[in-house]
Amino acid sequence: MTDELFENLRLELRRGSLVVAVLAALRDEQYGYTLRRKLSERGLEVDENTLYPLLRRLENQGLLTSEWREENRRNKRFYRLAAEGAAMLKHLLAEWREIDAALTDILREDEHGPDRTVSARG
Amino acid sequence: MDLIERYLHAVEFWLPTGQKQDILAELAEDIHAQVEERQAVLGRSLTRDEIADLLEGRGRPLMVANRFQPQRSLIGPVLFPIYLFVVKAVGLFYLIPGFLVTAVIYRTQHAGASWFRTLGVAGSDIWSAGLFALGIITAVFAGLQLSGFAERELVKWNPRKLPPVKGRNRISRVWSVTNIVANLIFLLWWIPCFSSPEILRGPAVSVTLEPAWMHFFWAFLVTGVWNIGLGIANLLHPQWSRLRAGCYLAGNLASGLLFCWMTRTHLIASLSMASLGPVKSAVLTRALQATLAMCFPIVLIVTVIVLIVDLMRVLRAGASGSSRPGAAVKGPVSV
Repeated sequence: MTDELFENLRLELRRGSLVVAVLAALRDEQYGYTLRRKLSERGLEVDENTLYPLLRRLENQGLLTSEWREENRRNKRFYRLAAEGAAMLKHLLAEWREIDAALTDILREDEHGPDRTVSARG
Repeated sequence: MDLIERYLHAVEFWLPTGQKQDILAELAEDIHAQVEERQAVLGRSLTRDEIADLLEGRGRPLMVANRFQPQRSLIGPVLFPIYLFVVKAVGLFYLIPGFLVTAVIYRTQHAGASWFRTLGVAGSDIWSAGLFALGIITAVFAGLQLSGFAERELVKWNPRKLPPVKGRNRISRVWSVTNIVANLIFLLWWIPCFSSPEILRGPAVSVTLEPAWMHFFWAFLVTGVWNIGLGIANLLHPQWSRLRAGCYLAGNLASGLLFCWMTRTHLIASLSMASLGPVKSAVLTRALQATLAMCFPIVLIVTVIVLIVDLMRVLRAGASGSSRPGAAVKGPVSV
């Protein structure tokens, strides 16, 4: 397995999760920089070139709202989860839990698989 | 800080119109926040080099701006495999044969020209033709993409309309019948017209061939009959076997060699036309012989192409016939 392949697959795996993480993190109002730090502190490093276009896309889809406000003498754009976004987050989390349960089940089955083979042969 | 301004200015150029100022303001705020955080850690202002490193880490302005653009493609993922198939087919069946034929024609018209020049002329001609073909194909597919054809016609499909599965070695009946009919027509034309060296005998025109012609006559007659026999065998047992494919290869090899030999042989013994004098008739005879000789390289190339196709058929017929993936699956496998 090459590092490049792992990196590609890792990014692919995280891409979908990132939307859920951003929606979940924006249940509390944040501006871009603090959102990025918050995600990073929780172990989800996000490139700014990924985060800002994603925030705009989610806002265009009606899942987020934003407003420009002054804080510490600088204008910042604050994002917050919209009502539609909250409903979407609920659905996505349900889906996430289903995937997690299915994957856990598959892995458990895989762990027990060799035992079953051995007993069947025996 | 002028580096940051220059960076933002460079990003601005590539941003989508209408959102430039909004995106830039947010981007500027993010960069300043990052700089401030770094300064707080170091307890001093950042040097110019440190700011340059920070901006370099954010990526090239074009790439940064590009992330804010909607996803765009000239030819989308649905049409792209078809586009690629068409481009490859044009290359294989139009450009490569075109290159060979152009080279051969140039070579026969300029016998003294070097091979380097011949290939240069053929390459130049085919380069223009290739670019033109690629441009036309790309424009047609881009038009289909823009018109929404891919989403409208290709995404929706009906499994019932899929073509039936044909065995790799199955011989189409239409192909067999066409082969038989074509060879019959050939023989019906060949036998009465060319069974004697005097192929034309009239008051206006008279053409007599060399006695060697009769060898060609019989040889082509045999290949015609051979092909009809193979066509009938294909109709009765429409499956390529190595032997059958080998017989086709042998027949086409014989026909090809005969054609090549014919173009290299002076077959016209005499040609006379009432409207032309003997001198002009002799000139016309030489011109016809020269034209026939010029056809040799083209006939050779066509023969080689046909033989390659035949040889591939022989190899395919020799390989295990029913190794179609999924053929043995009995029940549905669903997700």
